[in-house]
Amino acid sequence: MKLSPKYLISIAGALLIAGTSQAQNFIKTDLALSFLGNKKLVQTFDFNLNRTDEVQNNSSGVYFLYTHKYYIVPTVDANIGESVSAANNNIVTQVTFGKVLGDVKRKSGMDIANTRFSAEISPTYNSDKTFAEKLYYAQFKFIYNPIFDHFGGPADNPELQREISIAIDPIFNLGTHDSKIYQTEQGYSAAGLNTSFLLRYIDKDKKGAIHDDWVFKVSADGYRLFSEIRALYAKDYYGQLVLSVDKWVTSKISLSLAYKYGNENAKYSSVNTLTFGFKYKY
Amino acid sequence: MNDSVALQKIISSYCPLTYDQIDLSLAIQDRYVSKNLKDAFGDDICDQWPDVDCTDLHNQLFSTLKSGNDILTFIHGA
Repeated sequence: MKLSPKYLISIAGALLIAGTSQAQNFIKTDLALSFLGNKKLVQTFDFNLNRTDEVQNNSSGVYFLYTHKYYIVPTVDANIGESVSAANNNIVTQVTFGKVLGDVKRKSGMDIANTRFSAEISPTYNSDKTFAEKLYYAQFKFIYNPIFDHFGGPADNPELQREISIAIDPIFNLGTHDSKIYQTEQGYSAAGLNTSFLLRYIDKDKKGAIHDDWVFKVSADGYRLFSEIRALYAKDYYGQLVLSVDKWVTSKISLSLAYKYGNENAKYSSVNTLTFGFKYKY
Repeated sequence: MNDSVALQKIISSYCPLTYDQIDLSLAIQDRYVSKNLKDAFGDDICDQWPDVDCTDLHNQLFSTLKSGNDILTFIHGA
């Protein structure tokens, strides 16, 4: 067996899943209602490392390395559901090499603004859950992420009450697609934009203990395919829209409701689903 | 400027308080610094104290290093 880069990426991905399983942020299990074809209820299971629904993946980091604003962070996102077309059914493994380009702070009264710019290159392995369609690519990403915090309460003891985080990230993917179904391997390239809007609302009691912690998020990812196995896709533009609400019931447990609409890699199959999730962070 | 004041000044850039109002014995996350600004906060500490192990700091910030005093202990251990 020759050791081509794609084998190395698969091996690295497998080691990453095995080696970092203790460091994952949370486990999440969902019940999903699919609106495609016959409406049905399905069970899904998500495994995430450094990639959470409610925050930018680089701010929940379990870092391999972080020094002088250069960082290396692994991310694993495995979504395995019982239905083929209902919920996300794919696996994404990345090792991100990033550089913080700038951090701009502004402070005025009870408001704090922090804008972060960074650039990342991530070797990525992306497959469907049956490993029939596999994408190996390098993802180039530029991140623009302003966060606005609003504090409230008395001036001598203010509390974080509201947070708005906006992310606008242009991406470019370059690599190959290996298809078991079509018995072929072909170049893959795509360019697009990942965007998200997040609102976090926190309510505390007089002692400062958190009463309520809500996270509302809208994210829209879109991209255009430039090269791919022709038989696999019908149109040039793909993407996914996700609306979600998370509520932390305790500091460890959160409940979430999410609606997903669009397509997923690496099969470009449609997703149109409402999920109710239970998340346990440890 | 001693280490406590330097840390208070960093923390105060993430909340409306002035640096002398920052109580280093209290938990920092979401009181003074939003958990989503953890990385920027970690960067500031690494810039101020170049000898600290940044990888360790970023991975432990807000989990084992909860208060300002925890961070000072971490810095002095470097």
